[in-house]
Amino acid sequence: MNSRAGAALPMALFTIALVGALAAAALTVSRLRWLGGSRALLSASARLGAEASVDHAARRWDPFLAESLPVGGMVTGAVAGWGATDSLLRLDERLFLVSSVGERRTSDGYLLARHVARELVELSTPALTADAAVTTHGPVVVDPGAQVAGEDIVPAEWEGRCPTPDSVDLPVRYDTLSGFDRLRPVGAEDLLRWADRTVAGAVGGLGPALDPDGGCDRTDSLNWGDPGVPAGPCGPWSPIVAAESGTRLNSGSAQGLIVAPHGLELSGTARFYGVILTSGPLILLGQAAVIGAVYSDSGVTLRDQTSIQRSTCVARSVIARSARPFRRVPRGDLAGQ
Amino acid sequence: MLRLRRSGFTLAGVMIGMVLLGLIGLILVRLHLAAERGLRALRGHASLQEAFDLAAAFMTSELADVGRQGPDLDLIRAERDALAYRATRGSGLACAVGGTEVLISRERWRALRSLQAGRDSLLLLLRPRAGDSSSRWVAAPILGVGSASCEGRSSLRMGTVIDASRWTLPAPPALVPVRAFEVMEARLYASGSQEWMGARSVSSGEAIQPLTGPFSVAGSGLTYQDSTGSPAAALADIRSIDLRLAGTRPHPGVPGSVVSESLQTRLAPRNLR
Repeated sequence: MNSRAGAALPMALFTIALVGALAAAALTVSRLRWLGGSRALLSASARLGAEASVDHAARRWDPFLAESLPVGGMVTGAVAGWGATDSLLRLDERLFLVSSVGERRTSDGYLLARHVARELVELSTPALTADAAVTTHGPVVVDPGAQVAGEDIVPAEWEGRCPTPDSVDLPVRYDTLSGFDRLRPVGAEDLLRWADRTVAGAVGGLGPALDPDGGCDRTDSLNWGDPGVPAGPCGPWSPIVAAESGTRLNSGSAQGLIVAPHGLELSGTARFYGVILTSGPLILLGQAAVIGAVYSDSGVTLRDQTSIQRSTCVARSVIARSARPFRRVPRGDLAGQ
Repeated sequence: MLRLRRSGFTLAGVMIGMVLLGLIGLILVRLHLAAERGLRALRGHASLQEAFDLAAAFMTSELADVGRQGPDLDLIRAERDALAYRATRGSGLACAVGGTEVLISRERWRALRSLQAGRDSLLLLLRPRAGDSSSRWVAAPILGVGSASCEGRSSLRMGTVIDASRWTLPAPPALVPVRAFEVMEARLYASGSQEWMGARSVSSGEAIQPLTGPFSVAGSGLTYQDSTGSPAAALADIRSIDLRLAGTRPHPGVPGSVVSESLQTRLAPRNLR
């Protein structure tokens, strides 16, 4: 019997084991590098998502939602278009903290990356006070059947209660009228940019509109809030309206802040609760009525049975609801803390 | 006739083999020494890079929150070899602000470390009682740190002084943004024959402490840019900060030789934008 022990088999096994170990080591190193790169990418993605979400929230401010939040109150993930992890915390009457959490997870929910972005947003309000029913540099013409009432009232339909507390502080008095620049820190151009509605020509049939769920349908162009039922779904809805040249409101009931650079006419049974700002003439015809305050650089004319009734309460309410995140607070970016 | 066949090496063969083996050995030794020198040089480079990375990470973290509001700047002094600034040590929301104390709910407070009276100060976002009512960050000293309860929650109590005649002090449930800061200085400096990057707390009067080094600081320094990328003319114009670190160290494997590295990074704090 020929018994010859060779080294070929052990050498082959050893070589295979060595090559296998080297391949495993290379794969491990590659996987670690891939994981490291993936984590960096996911982390950057989470950070960008959070920061973009905060920016989006600050730019597309929802005054209706902000107004409904009490001081100290927070709403989370309830704002359409903001993403599921946004939150809005009201710090005081005009200061909000917008937060967003960007997360990247595996399909089974394991957290891979997380970043929190926060930003302080302060609302600015037009610098107006309703010291008079009519403030103008031009002539005021009042027909015998019309009236301008300077007595400060709370509308009877509001049951004697003003929805905006007296403590709402309007920054600067509107002492003289020499153009909209006096509205600083908010200018007319800001109000026009923020406008929720832009109207031109004849506008009639203004009134509240509800969506199928019973909420206020703010997409309806003729829905400018419900001044008749302040506690109703559209009671808090108080739009900023940009009125182009030749605009005429001729029927219906509305509230808000109208900015009309070229003048405005109210006629018929139009009834408006709020503040009207115009550089052109303001003309009231028929039975049109304004409750709040009007400002006109070019004069005010009241014909027929029209009226302008001063109401600080109404003016304060619409001005407070006209606030927008005009400025971001310096040092207000609290990302990552 | 019997012929005897003997196998083996001749002397010449053995000699040639030995010479060849010696040559191969010599080559291997030289290769090994060269690899070792290369490895040492790599270690030198890596060490310098690590020092630079540490310096860059420190500055990025320290300057992350610096900002400005009108004439009130978090950058206090900016020089080529030194920068003094307010470094954030904590931030949160105060639930009560009075003329002599600030209460901060612990669940709404994040801090790098415990605050210290005398060393740290506060920035509170308050509204002036007169004039433009936009909120402003108001600096106030921390005179003492303790515990309290605010609206039933465990809170930090910070003794301070705030001019209540000048600033509106909100009452609960309003919340006031608060930052705690420490005045710091980062500096490139020489100590003995070596050069370092160090930092110190200015507000606590500390001496400079080495942060990273040693390395030659020739060519290192800080430069400051405005919003257009041009050199900033004043502190208030600074929008970004370039940190350049260039260093050399003796080559560990080659006497008389050096390894050199450099790093340049631009810091653009988000609140300076």
